[in-house]
Order: sequence, then structure tokens, then C-alpha cells
Amino acid sequence: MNNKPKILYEKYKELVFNVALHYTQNIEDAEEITQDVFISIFENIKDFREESTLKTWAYRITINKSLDFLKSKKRLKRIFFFKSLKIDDQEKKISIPEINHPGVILENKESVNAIFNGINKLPSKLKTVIILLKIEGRSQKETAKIMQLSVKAIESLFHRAKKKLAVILKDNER
Amino acid sequence: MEKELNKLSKINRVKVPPKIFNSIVYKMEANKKTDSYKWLLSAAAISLILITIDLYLLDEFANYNLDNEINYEIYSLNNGLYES
Repeated sequence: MNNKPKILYEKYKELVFNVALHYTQNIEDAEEITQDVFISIFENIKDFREESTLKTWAYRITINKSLDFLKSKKRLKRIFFFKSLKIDDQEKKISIPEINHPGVILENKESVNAIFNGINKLPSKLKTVIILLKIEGRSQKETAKIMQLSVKAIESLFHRAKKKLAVILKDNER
Repeated sequence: MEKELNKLSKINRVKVPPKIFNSIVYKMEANKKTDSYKWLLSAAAISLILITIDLYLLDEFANYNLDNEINYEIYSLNNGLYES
């Protein structure tokens, strides 16, 4: 392996790892996604057409890989649930990792975990809009480029996301 | 809601664990090995198919020749080619 992958890795590792962490809220899963993202970047860098910046491209790959990862994890959880109906209680106690985002400061931990619980119930596009705008601090224009949508569409997605999240959080409080 | 969401902006960037790059290199090497193994398997499968087709054609060709020879013999007999 030449030096180029290492340079790319050093440049984008933090971005990739942190975005994956926002999606999974768990270090082990974020590490796995980061590995898959960089393998995909290294394998496809020769096909990269400079229609977007490398940073936007890295964001896109990370978002797609994170969403795929969560989908397959959900599928596994379902299988595990049906299997656990057949086995005894001892094995039922094998826990599925909970929200444990190391970037959340202690005083906010409880409330942010509640918000993440809500965000995790949102459809993928609404979840992505909140992650990019609010956690990553990207502008609407940048978010639009990453998600390959118009700025208007981002505005409307964010509005819908806030509305839906408010309903979910209220339901969770009850 | 805005107030709640603003709490998300206070999430700190997390440092990347150092072992990840080595794991990526290891995974890529493992993928390469699997790829060459898959390539070898498909090459073996293609060769097997070609040999099967070849053997089938050889067999057909041999029968075809034999059939022709028998037909020629019958034709010869019928047309008195063996009568001197």
C-alpha cells in the first residue's frame, strides 16, 4: 500500500468516525463503519469524479454505510428477538448496546440520550438532516450538496424532522 | 424544540482510536485473498464446463463419423459397389 491512503485517512478519519458515531451512538459500531467507509474510499478513489469535493463524497459514503449498518443491525435484532422467544431467560439477557455517545458532556447526558432515542425513531432522511445541521453544524447549502437535494427540500425536511421529533419525545415522556 | 436540538450542537468531537487504520489494511488484505480465491474458483468452474463441452463434442463427432461409415457401407451394398 502506498502513502496516499494513509494521507486520505489522516485527513478524513475524524469526520468519518464522528458521523458514524452520531448514527450509532456507540464506539464499536462506529469503528466498524469507519473501516468499511475507508475500504470503500480506497477502492473507489480512482472512479471519483470531481463533481463534488472529496469531503462531500466522504460524507455521502459515511451516511450510506451508517444507514446500511443500522438496517442490517435491525434485521439481526429481529432474528435475535424471534430466537430469544425459544430460548431461556438467561440468554434473553444478552443486551443490545444502548446509547453511549462519548462526545456528550456529562451534564447533558440524560437529555441528549432522550433526544437520540427520538432521533433513532425518525426515517433515515430526517435523521440525516438533524445530524448534519445540528450535530455536524453544516450549513443548509452544504447539507443540500451532501444529500443531493435542493436547499428548499432541506428546509422542509428539517421542519418535518423537528415536528416529528417533538411528537416522539412527548410520547416517550409519557 | 430548538432549545432541545441546540444541546446536540454541544456534542464534542471524539478522537479516533489508533488501531483503526491497521484493521483497515488487514481487512483489505483479507478481501484481496478472498477475491483471488473466488477468481481461482470461477476459473476452475469455467475450465470444467469447457472440458465437459469438449468431451461431449468429441463423443458426438465420433458417433457422427461411425454413423457415416455405416451409412456408406449400406449405401455401397445397396448400389452394388462390392459386386465385381
